[in-house]
Amino acid sequence: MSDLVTIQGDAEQLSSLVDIPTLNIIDQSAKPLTDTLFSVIAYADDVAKAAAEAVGCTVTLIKTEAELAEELQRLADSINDTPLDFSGEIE
Amino acid sequence: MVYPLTSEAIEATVQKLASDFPLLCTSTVFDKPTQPIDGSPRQYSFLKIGKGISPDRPAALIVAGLHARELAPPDAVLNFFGKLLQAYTAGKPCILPAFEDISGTGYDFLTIPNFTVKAIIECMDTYIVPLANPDGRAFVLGQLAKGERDPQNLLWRKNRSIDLPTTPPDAVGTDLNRNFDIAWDFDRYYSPAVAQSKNFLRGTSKNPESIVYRGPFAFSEAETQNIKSMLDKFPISFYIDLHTWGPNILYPWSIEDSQSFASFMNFLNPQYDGQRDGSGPTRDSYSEYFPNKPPIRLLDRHESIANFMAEAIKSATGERYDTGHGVDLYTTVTTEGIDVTPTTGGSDDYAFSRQFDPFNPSVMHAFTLEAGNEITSFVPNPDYHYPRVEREIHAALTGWVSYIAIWHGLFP
Repeated sequence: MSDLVTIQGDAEQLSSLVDIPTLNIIDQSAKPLTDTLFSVIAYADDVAKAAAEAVGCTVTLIKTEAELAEELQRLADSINDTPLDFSGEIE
Repeated sequence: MVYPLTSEAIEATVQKLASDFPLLCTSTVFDKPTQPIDGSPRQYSFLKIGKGISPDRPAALIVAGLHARELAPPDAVLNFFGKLLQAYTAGKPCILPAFEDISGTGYDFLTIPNFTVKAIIECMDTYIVPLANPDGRAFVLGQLAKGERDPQNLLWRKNRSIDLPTTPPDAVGTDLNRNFDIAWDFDRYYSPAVAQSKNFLRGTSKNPESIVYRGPFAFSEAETQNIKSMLDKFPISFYIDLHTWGPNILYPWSIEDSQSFASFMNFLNPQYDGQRDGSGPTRDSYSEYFPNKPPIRLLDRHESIANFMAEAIKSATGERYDTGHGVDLYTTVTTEGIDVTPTTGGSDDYAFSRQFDPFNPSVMHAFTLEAGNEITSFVPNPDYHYPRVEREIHAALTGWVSYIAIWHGLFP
């Protein structure tokens, strides 16, 4: 598993990261910040984050692996098999 | 509300709405059941909400849940229309409750005035497909329930059908939002330089193992055939497809950049086959035609409606949404660089494209809402992300249906 991060850099810097096996840049997540600077959203482990920083990118944490796991646990706990009911009076 | 609803609970909610509000709401089982590899064929339904039979009333189609992992929109759309029906029946405004998220940020009541509730029910017909990919959602929630905790393994996007009995597990499913018949045959539509570029193939793919696999042929999937059948049967002139995440409000085109001066330059014209150049500042030899002639001024109208929705969301949540042509809002990184990414086979482009049919040239308005952001993501925390994404969807829908029911009735 990996952290969810934002990575900022120019086109050349970000393109150089695409083949890192433990970096999963989410498709179509790139956003232009200036004419030359972009941000992408990615799942990245420590190796991938270090590689991004090594080429001059800025890596910002969105959620840690532990936070992601905790959120997924909450989501699993709240799966709801009961239909919504709108037949009563408005609260 | 407790979220996420299972696919079965969503279908049961559809049936319950139809039975609780029989004069305002009907449910219809789709002709084609889904064909999942990991279960039995599944029957599922759509809703029609509206009271009255005026032939001039506009009809709208709302689709949610085409992508399996995008959990919030199906729940949000049902909650929105359930509360709307409840308010109409009580003769009261529709009040979506205030809440505070875990960071302490407060979100005020979202009130839809009585007049607007009445107009939405009485002045338009609203068709709703709350869950367009029930097998995909069942797969995601099943994995979650089994203990899968790697978000990258939970991000299933496609449906659960297979092309051939010999399909390997990695090649299950079609990206339903690449399976509609608009530039689906992208090798014919684009120049080879575009259709074979890494950037393009990250947005749409012929590879069944890709998460954006377009399927073996256009409308190969029961789920997309069912949406097409609704567009064929009903006089729908407004279409919106609800997704996560953005925050963006898109309108056509996503297959190309757009222009409004040369009507002959369009996806139907075989003269341009194999020459279309995608989108981007250096690719200006071809752009897809987007009508904007008076009196309708369709492009201006799309921009106005998108901005109206964006303002409604900002007012309700503070979130700033980008609005624009789909192709301008999707950008991808590949080893070849960063570029805008055209996508083919999308439901909004397909719905929009139908007005170019010379035998059925009725005006169509088409949008995609990409709700939420990278923090709320595909798998929102039910305690504080879900309500926020839901509020954004509710605010957007309030703006969208209000426009149709009130303004479009006054200025068709």
